[in-house]
Parts: sequence; structure tokens; C-alpha cells
Amino acid sequence: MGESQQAFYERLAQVFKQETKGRLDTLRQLLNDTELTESPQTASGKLLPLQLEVHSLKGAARSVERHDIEMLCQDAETLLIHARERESALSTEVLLGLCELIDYLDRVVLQSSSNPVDIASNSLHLKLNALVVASSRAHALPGKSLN
Amino acid sequence: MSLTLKSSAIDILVVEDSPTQAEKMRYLIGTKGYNVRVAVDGTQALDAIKERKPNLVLSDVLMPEMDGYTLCKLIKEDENWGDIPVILITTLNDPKDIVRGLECGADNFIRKPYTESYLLARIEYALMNQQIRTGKNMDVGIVLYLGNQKHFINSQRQQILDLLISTYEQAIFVNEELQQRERQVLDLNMRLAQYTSELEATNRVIARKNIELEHANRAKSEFLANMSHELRTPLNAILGFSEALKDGLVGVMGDKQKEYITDIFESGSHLLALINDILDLAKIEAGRMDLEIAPTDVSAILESSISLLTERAHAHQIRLSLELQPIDIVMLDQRKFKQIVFNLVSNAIKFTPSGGDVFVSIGKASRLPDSVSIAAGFTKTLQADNGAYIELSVIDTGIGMQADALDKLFQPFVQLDSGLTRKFEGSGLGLAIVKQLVELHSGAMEVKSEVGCGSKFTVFLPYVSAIDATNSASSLKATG
Repeated sequence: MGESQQAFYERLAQVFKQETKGRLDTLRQLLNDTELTESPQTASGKLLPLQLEVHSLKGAARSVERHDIEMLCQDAETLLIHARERESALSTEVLLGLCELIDYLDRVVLQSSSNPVDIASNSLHLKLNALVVASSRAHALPGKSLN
Repeated sequence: MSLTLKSSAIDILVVEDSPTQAEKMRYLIGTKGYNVRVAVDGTQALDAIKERKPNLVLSDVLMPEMDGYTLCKLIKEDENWGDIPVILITTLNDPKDIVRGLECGADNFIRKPYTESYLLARIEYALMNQQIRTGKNMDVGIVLYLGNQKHFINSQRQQILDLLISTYEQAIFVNEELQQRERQVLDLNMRLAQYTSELEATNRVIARKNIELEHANRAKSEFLANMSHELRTPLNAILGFSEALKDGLVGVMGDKQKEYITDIFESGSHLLALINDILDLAKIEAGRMDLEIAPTDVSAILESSISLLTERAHAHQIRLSLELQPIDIVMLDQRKFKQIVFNLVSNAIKFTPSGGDVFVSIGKASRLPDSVSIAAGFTKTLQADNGAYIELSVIDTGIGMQADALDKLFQPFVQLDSGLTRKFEGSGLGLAIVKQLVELHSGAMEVKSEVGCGSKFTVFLPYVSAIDATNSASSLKATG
């Protein structure tokens, strides 16, 4: 007999929790390695692994219909893409935003201490989104091409 | 359309680095009876293909180590694997994705996010195309320029068409989604407009209710003021005649009669004090209390008030002392100042046990302490000279109060402990009146208290020297 849908989704939630734990550990490690004092070129070279982790986490969240987490990861991924394309190091604000995201995910996924969509999620989204808007403006400066 | 192969005989290789996404795809595709294998990256996928050639490869694009494009290219370049259909899963948010897909020879795209039914339909379509495709590899060798970069497309014509049609389908799907979102935004905007208008209507109702409440409050105060006046008139007759009887002006009375008439007189006096308090408070609240500002000798008023209250203090074995610092004649409402002193000192005597002390002092403060502020809402009746204030303090060694009780202290009809109401007779209006009178003078009050140790009430009234006030009035008169 195949696995029931309910049993599958319960198992999938556990897989997601495990995956999130691993990715958050990797993200913390990567952020620790991304020194603010590094030259922009060196620092931006370390952004791709960060982006891939956030990207995968976003897809994983979508698979378990955690659209709040998907949205936050999308914000973070956009920030990392912009920084990579500008070949610049992460600003202090973005770095702090990413740390806050990691702490939030740790709290809501690993400790299950919140509803799927709560005020903290909205507030973090607003914060990251403001950074994305600022980053998009810088991105659109003359001489900065998407290609 | 149906497949000639049995589903269980069809082997699909899913390449996905996220275990959650891979498990979901394995489950979904498995529900159609296909055999599903999972590889977590390109390298592992190549090993899996070497082990057993799959009927289809479904690969994520962004992956660590080896991305989906490179994997697809390696599959298509291999002479034994080139006919394996490869579907790439990507966000398709860059036109280059399509060219990269064509370059690496991908058969189809599935755009993220995808619906489950769409994913399954794409897989079935790709498998069917593979079976009916009879054409040999014909290198078309198209050169394409995009974003100033040259791309060499080596895919078969059918493959290119499949890829472009799937891309077009995605575009239509995205467009439908956008239209749906637009409708949602419109709907939300309409709801927002409705909520805003409801909120505005509610605000208007609240504003109207506030005005009504203000009118009702004023009417209540006016009623109280009138009623108090009506009550006072007959009471004066009761007090007058009972006093005359008590003093023997209408004949000699027996002891019992004297005792009863004294009770009538004292109860009447208490009732009169109560009515006077109500009348004062009602007048202030109704905005009908005017100050009669005149040159005032505060020291003299204080001395006479204390002398009147000394007898009451001694009756309770309480020591009442006064400390005066020299103060000029200042501009104040004499009667109100006397009432402030009387209420504060009476209150201190009332709540101080026998053997305790009540200490009264008055002086000049060069400015208000930081902990004290002037209440907003009162028209400034007096403007202090250089920010100076008269500082009147009444300190007692009474029962004291809890810190959280101080907020209620100046509310009318409140005695903090209901048990005290029975023990300490009073209307509960004294301090409320003091506060209102002080604020009417553009002054302020401060209270410090500790349970079991006592309380300190300090009143700050603007210090306006009568000499300066007279001089400025004269100069105004002269210039006028």
C-alpha cells in the first residue's frame, strides 16, 4: 500500500525541518566567513553559495506551502543577486537583515514558536523589502547593467 | 493521448539539491505510477544515468557543484544519452534562460512556481514526444545573438519548437496569473476604500458623541451647581435656628434637648461643607469658576488658617507646625488660596494618627522641579515672574499611600481605601478641588507618599509680585 497523502505531508514537514536546520547552519557559517573588511571583489565571490542556499530554502518552503518563508527568502535572494551583479560586498544593513532572517527562521521552523504568517514575519518582510527597494535603486544606476 | 509504455516501466530521474523539493516531486510523479529516482546534484545524476538510462530527466537549474544547464549539455552530448528528454525547472525570469536552454539542448522548461497538474502534463508530453519522434539528429547550427553575446544552437528543430512552445505557454500562464493578481489588487483597493469610508463614518459618530458627551457633562455640572444652591437655602435656615436653640437664644433647654440640637447643628454643618464642595467642583467643571486675582499676603492667610485648624489638630493629639519664609505680597485669589490651604491641612490632620505631626511650610521656588509639569488645557491665568513659584508644602506622618494609588488621588468622590470612608469622614472632594483650584491658577501639584510613613503634598503657584503687577498696570495705564 502506498503512503497516504496526510502521512506524506507530515513526513515532508519533517524533511523540511531537517533541511532548514542544515541550510541555516550553512548560512551562518557562510555569513561568518563573509568578513566586512574584505575587498568587495573577494566578498562578492562568496555570495553565490549564500544565494544558492537561500534559493533552495525558498523552493523547499514553497513545497510545504510556507509562503511567508518563501517570500522572505525571495527578498534575501534578490538582495544577494543585486550584490553579486554589482560585485560589491554586503552592506551592514543587508548583513544584519540576513542575520535577522536566519534567527526568524530558526524560531518559526525549528522551534515552531509562531503561526505561519505573523506580525514578525510581516515586519521582517517590510524591512527586507525596503532594503530590496534601496538596492534596486542602486542597481539601476547608469553603468549598472543586468547583463 | 496515451503512452505506449506502462507507467511503472518508465524511469524518471529527478535532479534536485533540496531534499524537500525532491521528496515532493518523487511523491507527485510517483502518484502517476512512474518509477522515480533522485539525484542531489549533476555529478550524482550522471552516475545514476550510467547505472541505468532513464526515460526522462527532470532537473533544477540552480544547484551547487554543477548547474542544470551543464548537466543537460553533458547528457545531450553523449551519443548514448542524447535522446533522453531533459526538462529544466527554472524561474524563467531572464531571456537568457531560454537561450541557455536551447544551447544545452533542453527539451522543455517548467517554470517555477508550477502547479502539480502542469508538472505532470509536461512530463507526459515530453515522454510522448520522445516516443513519436522519428527524426534523426540534424544539426541546424543556428547562431543567435542576445545581449551582445553569441549563442550557437545545435538542437533539433522539434526540440526547439517544443522548448519555445512551452515557453510561450508559460508566458500565457504568467499573464493569466498577473491578470488574476490585478483583479485581486483591484478588489483589495475597493475593500480598502470601503473600510476607509466606514472608518471615517465611525470617526464622525465618535466626534458627534464627544460633543454630546461634553454638553451632557456641562449640563450635569450646571444641574449640580443649581441643586447645591437650592439645597443650601433651606439648610441655612436649619443651621441658623439650630444654632440659636443650641446657644439658648430662645429659652433654656434640658441636657437631652441640648445634645440633640447640637447633633442637628453639627450634621447640618457637615452637610453644608459637603454641598459647598460639590458646588465648587461643579462650578469649576462647568467653567463657571472665576478667579478674583488681588494682592494677597499669603503668610497672613497661612497663619490664620493654621490657627483655625490648630484646635482640630490638638483634639486629635496632633502637633501642627508652620514654617514661613519671607514672601512679598503676591497676586492670587485669596479665597481660593485659603481653600487650598484649608483642604490640604484638614486632609493631613484627618489621615494622621494621634501623636503624629503635620508640618506646613511656604517659600519661593526659583523654578518648577523637573518632576512637575503644568497641566495643559487651562488658560494661563497667571504668568510667573522669571519662572518663579510659591511653594506650599504640607507634610504629615499619616497612613501614607501606595504608589499605584496616587493616580486615583485627585479623582472626585474617591477615598483610596473604601474602609477609610467609614473611618475618616469626608466627601472625597477635597483634593479634587485643590487640584482644580491650583490648575486654575496655572499652578501644579506634586505628591510623595510612603505607606505607614506619611505623605507630602506640594503646591506650586505662579509667583507674581503685587508690586511688579501694580507697576506694569500703571505703566500700561500711562502709555494707554
